Amino acid sequence: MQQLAGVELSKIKQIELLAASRPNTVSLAQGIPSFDTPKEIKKATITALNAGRVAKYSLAPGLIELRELIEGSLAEEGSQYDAQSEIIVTAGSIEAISSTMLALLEPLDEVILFSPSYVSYNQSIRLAGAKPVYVALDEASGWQFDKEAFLAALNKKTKAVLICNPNNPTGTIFDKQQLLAIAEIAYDRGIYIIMDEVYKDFLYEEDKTSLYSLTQEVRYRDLVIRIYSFSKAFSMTGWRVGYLVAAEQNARKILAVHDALVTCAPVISQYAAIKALEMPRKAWLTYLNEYKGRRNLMYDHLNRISALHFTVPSAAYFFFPRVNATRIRDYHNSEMLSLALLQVAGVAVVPGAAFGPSGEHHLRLSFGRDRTTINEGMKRLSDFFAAYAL
Amino acid sequence: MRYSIKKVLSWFLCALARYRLGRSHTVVVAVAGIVGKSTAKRTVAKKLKKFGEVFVSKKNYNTEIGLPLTLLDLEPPYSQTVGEWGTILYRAFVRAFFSPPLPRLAVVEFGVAEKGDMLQLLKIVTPIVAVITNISVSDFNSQTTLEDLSIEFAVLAASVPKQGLVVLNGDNNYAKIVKSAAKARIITYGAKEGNEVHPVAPKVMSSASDTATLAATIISDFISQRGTP
Repeated sequence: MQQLAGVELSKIKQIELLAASRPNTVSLAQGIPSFDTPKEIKKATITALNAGRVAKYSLAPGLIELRELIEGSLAEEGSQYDAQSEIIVTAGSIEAISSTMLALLEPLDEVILFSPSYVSYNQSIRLAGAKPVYVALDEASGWQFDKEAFLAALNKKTKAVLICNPNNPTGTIFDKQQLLAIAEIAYDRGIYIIMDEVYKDFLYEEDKTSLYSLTQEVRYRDLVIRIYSFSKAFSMTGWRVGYLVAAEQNARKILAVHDALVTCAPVISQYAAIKALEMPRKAWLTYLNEYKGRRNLMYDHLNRISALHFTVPSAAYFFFPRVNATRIRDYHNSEMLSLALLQVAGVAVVPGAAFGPSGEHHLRLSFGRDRTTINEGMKRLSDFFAAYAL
Repeated sequence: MRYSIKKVLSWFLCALARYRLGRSHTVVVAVAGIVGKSTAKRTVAKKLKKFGEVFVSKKNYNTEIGLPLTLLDLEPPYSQTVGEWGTILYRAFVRAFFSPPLPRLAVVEFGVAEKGDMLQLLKIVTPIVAVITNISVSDFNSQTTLEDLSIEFAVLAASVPKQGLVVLNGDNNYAKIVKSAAKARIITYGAKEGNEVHPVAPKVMSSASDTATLAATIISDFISQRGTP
C-alpha cells in the first residue's frame, strides 16, 4: 500500500528493541512508569472478572458506566460532553489518535505537528495517507509556541493541528493564551485541533494543579478532539485503555473507524479505568511527589554533565537536554550518539531527532523509571561523557 | 466485601442517610435509567438551582453503599481497608447527627444492575419526583435482562407518592411496564408520537443531553407549580 510507505516503527520502539537484545542495558528510553498498577484498580478488575462481566465486547464506544464517569469528570472542569454520543473509550491514546486521523483526514491533507513532539504522531498521520508538517517550537524561550512560524506553515491542505499538552519530550505546557491563539487561527480556517493530554496530571509547579483544555470553550467545540490515556497516571501502559471526546458529528466518524480497528477497548481494562477514575487526589499526589523526587534526582545527575544543556521540565516525566557538540569527541548527531550510548555505555535513551527536526542534537531521558535505574543510567551516561569529553 | 458485612454496612449507612434527609426536609428527585442518568442528573440540578441550593449526588455514587455515603457528604474508601471503613463509619455518624442540614432540593442518581437493587435504594430515599431515562442495552456482559431492569424502574415509579411526579422517556420500548406501575402523575417525553412532551426540533433524540433538557424542564415546571419546599 502506497500510504504505508512512510510508516515505520517509531525510534523509541527501535531503541527499546535494540536495548532488549543487549543484556544489562539500563533503559531511560520508553516513557513507562516504573510503578505497578495500584492494587485498588487490580482488585476492582478482579471483582469484575469474577462476576463474569468482562467476557463479551462492550458497545463500540465503551461501557456506559465508564463514559458517564468520564463525562462527569469533564463536567467538573467545565467541559460539557455527552457520554452517549461524544465520548469513546479507546485502546490507549495512540488508537484514539490513529482512529481520529483515519476518520477525519483525506490523503494528501497536511497536519501541523509542533517540533519537537511525540514520535508516533508522525506515523499515525502517514497511516491516513496525510503529511505531517513540522512547526518548530522556540527553544530559546523554553520551547514556546511561535505564532509566526505556525501561520507560515498553514495552507489550503492543512486539515488539523496536533498538540501534545503537556508536551512530550520537552515537558513544557501550552498555556491558555497560547492555546487560544492556536484555536482562533484554527477556527478561522476550519482546522481540527487534536489535543493529546496523556500527561495532564503530571504537573510539578506549585501554582499549577490543573491543565487548561480547549474543550472548555464552546466556540471551538466542532473542531476540538481531546485524547487521554490511563497509561501514565495510573501505571496502566499494558492495559491499553484511554478515551477521546469530540463533538457528536466528529465522534460518529471516529467511532466507525474505532469499531473497524478494535471493535471496542478491552472490557477488562475498561473496568480498571472505572476504578482509576475514582482514585482520590490525595492518592495521586503520593505518586506525583515521587515523580518530583525523581525529577530532582535526574536534575542533580544532569547538572554534573557539562556536555548537556537542559531546562527543568514543569510537566510530564522527561528531560530533553541539548548536546553541546563542542564538549564531546566524534559527535555527529543525536541518533549516532544514542547508538553509541547503547553500545558503549549500555544505556538506552531516545535520540531527539525522532521528535522532529528541532529535536536534533537532543536526547530524551525518562524519569518515569525507578530511582535505582535512574541512578545507574545517569552514572553510565556521565561516565560516557567523561570518557569522550573534549 | 462479604455479603453479610455489606448488608450490615448498608443498613447502618441507610439509617444515617435517612435520618439526615429527614431532619433536612429535603425533596428528592431520583434519576434512574440505564443510559443518560449522569447527564440528566446534572441537567435537572442545574435547572432547579433557580429555586435555591440543590444537593447533587457525586460521581456514580448510586448504589446501596454509594448513595447513602454521598448523602452524608462522604465518598466510598478508595482502598476499602478495615481502617478506612472505620473512619468512614465514624464520620457518617457525626455527619448524620451534627452536620448542617441538606438543601431543600436534592437530585440523586439511582443505579440498578440487578433484581432487587431498586428496593434497597428506596429504603434510603423516597423520591417525590422520579426521572427514568433510557432503558437500552449498555452492557453485553450483564446477567440481567432489560425486562428485569424495566421491572426495577417500575418499582421506582410505583414508589412515588400520588402528589409526586414520574417523568419517563416514552421512546423506551419498555416504557409501558413502567407507566402501568405509577400511581403518581406521569409525563412521558420523547420524539415518538404518544409522548406528552416532544423536542422542539422535529428530530429523533439521540443524545442524553437533549432528553435531559426535556426532563429538566418538566421537573422545573412541576416544582414551580408545587412551590419551593
